[in-house]
Amino acid sequence: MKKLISSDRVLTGIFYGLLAVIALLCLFPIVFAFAGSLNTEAEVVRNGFSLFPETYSLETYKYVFQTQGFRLLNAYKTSLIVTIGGTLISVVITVMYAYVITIRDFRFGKFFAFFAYFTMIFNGGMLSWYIVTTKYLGLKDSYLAMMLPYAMNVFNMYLVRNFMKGLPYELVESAKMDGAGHFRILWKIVVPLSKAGIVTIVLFYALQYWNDFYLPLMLINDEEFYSIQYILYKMMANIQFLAANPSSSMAAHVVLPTQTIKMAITCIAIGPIIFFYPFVQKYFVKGVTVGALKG
Amino acid sequence: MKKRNLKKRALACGLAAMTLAANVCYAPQVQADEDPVEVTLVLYGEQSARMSDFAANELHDKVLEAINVDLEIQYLPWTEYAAGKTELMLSSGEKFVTYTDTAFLAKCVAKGYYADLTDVYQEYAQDLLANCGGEEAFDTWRVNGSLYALPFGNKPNAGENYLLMAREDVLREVGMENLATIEDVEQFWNLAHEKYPDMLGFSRGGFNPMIVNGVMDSERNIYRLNGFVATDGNKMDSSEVWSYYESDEYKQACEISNRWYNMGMIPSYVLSNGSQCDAEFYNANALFTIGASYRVFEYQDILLQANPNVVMTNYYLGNKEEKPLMSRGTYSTAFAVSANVEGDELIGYVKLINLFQSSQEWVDFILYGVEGKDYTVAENGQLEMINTDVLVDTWLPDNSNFKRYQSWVTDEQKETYENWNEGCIPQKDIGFAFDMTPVSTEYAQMQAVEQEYFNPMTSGIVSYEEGYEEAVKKLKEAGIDRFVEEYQRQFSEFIEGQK
Repeated sequence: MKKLISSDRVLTGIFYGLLAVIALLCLFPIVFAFAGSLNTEAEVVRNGFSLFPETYSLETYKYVFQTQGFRLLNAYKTSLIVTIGGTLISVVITVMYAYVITIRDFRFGKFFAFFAYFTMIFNGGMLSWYIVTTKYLGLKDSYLAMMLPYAMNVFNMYLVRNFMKGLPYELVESAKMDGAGHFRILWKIVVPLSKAGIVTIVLFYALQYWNDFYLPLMLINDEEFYSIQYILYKMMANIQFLAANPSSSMAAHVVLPTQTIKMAITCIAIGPIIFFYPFVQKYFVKGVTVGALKG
Repeated sequence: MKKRNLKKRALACGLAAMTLAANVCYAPQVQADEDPVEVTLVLYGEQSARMSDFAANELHDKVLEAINVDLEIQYLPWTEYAAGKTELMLSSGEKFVTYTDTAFLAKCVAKGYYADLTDVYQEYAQDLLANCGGEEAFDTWRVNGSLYALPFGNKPNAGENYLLMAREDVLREVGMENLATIEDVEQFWNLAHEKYPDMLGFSRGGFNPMIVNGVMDSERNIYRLNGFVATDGNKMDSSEVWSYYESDEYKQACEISNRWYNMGMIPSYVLSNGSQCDAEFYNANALFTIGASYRVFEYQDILLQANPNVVMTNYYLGNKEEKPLMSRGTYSTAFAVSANVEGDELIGYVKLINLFQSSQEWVDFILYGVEGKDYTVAENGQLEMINTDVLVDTWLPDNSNFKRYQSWVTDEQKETYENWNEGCIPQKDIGFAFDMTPVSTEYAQMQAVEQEYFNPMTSGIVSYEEGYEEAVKKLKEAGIDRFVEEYQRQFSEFIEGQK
């Protein structure tokens, strides 16, 4: 191992120090939210939030789980199904689309590349989307309603395409000469070599599906299909509306532990993703960097 | 041959008569055998666990049995009310019924989103007519003579937001009896603050200039038609409107709020941290809030959980003889049906809303659920709840004809509430809906100016002298003159039409 000269050591020390400070800054809101969620509402009213509450209480979690109890568990199930299923569908479609427009001898490659790109700039507007989705495709009150509208994200598709473009095209050509079809080339050669890019979009999609409350808001009425984010969004939306309209007759009688519940909701919502993230983090950074450089 | 024909005819007549008689006898049965009308009711807020079960079972079955309506209830977050998903559902032609307000009604009628109920309400909303304020209440929801929403609920609510609600228990503790003037309020604050230094003055809702309307040095009984436009509520025939923020009454209100702010009665975070204000209020740690007749019960019920001694009372600052309280009508809300619903379906929708205000039994049923399962009735007639989950929100069907009070409500409070509207005058704009379309851009800009420049003055954080000049300049740039002109035009037409 190369020996560091003293100025390098100082510099490295400074970088580590800076990184530590930044890491602490990033960590602080999460720790603060967790500590806040363990505060009692009365203490928050009296003293404000504190990293080290005088008394620790699980009252807020009790409130959330008591009022939402079974639904919250059901919503976790829905969120997991949608996240896993949606990510799977999206990744398969995205990878196939990216492959198709990467292949040089595909006649309509440019057309399909433009077709996808066009939707990044123009769209039909919310009303037409809503009518097509609900009335023509019948996507309401089902798991598919929370997956199919997000089936392919064009940004992610271009990210994978850029990744695939970076692979030596000779690999594809030689495989063809050996008699491999496109399906075999894609799954046996291109996909394994694009692992970093694909893992990146897996994370992107997983985060998108996990955090989404918009599709449930628009397309789900049956509470059996409520996702965790939608339940939490509903709670927060109601709290915000009622806090913003205190003079309205609707708002007048509603009482909620507004301060601590926000913190508890944050902790509940980030739950599974925070455990998932560290395992794919290395691919995430690598994938984004490679994709960006070769774009 | 002839005899045989005669016999046949007699037999046929007999059979026909029997069939007719049978049909008459079983007419309701025939109706029940018809396919039920599918009705979707959209409500806002949180659906409790018990409400999910109740809506799918007991409520569904009872409604089906009563009016042959297959009811489905959907819940949306409050943020979607009169916006977002609700508007999307209306514009995409979905069939449903939900509540509305006069401003949203005007917008929806202009866009053709609501069904015209004129031809069906007389026949199928008889109970609403009888129990929810009569034709007068329905007039609020007419546009150009056509009815677009059904008023729901019936409660005395004169002076909504023109009252100061205060902690009567603390008032008595510090040796005072009543709050009728600015001096009374300030004296109460000083005494209470001395006794309870941590207690806030205003919190939830902050300061509303209308609570000091009665004590303004002005003969005009200010009625704000809109946040920006005011008229004299006492002059029923006058269509004159003016820019509220440029009026002398606003200046006086700001001087009071600024003084109260400097005295510590209004917290510094009143605009920036509404949640904190709410939390303080609900912990019984504030003396004042903005009042309304029915709000006493709602707030006191909550505050009693934090402090069992709390008594909330509405006070009117000023002289009711000179500036009487104004009433918007007695409805809690109104239900509008989406435009695609017509014919028998529309009748089913109207029947459903009517059913919910048809009797004490139905109001109790939607509010409290099933007797024996969700509640029991004590010997004194008061309800004892078994289930604590909220079913339909209590404010929604609030009707003085079917009112049940909580056990802590005193006879005096009941009497005050029941006679609340005595001596009040109607608001001038009942039945008027301002069409915002010609000035929607100005309105959006004015709202931004209001939030940035006027709200700090209204709450007393910035003094009138310090903030007025720039604020009014911005308001002019945003188009207040054009807005007032348009409002004047439409309101004059309305008042002329009333004569």
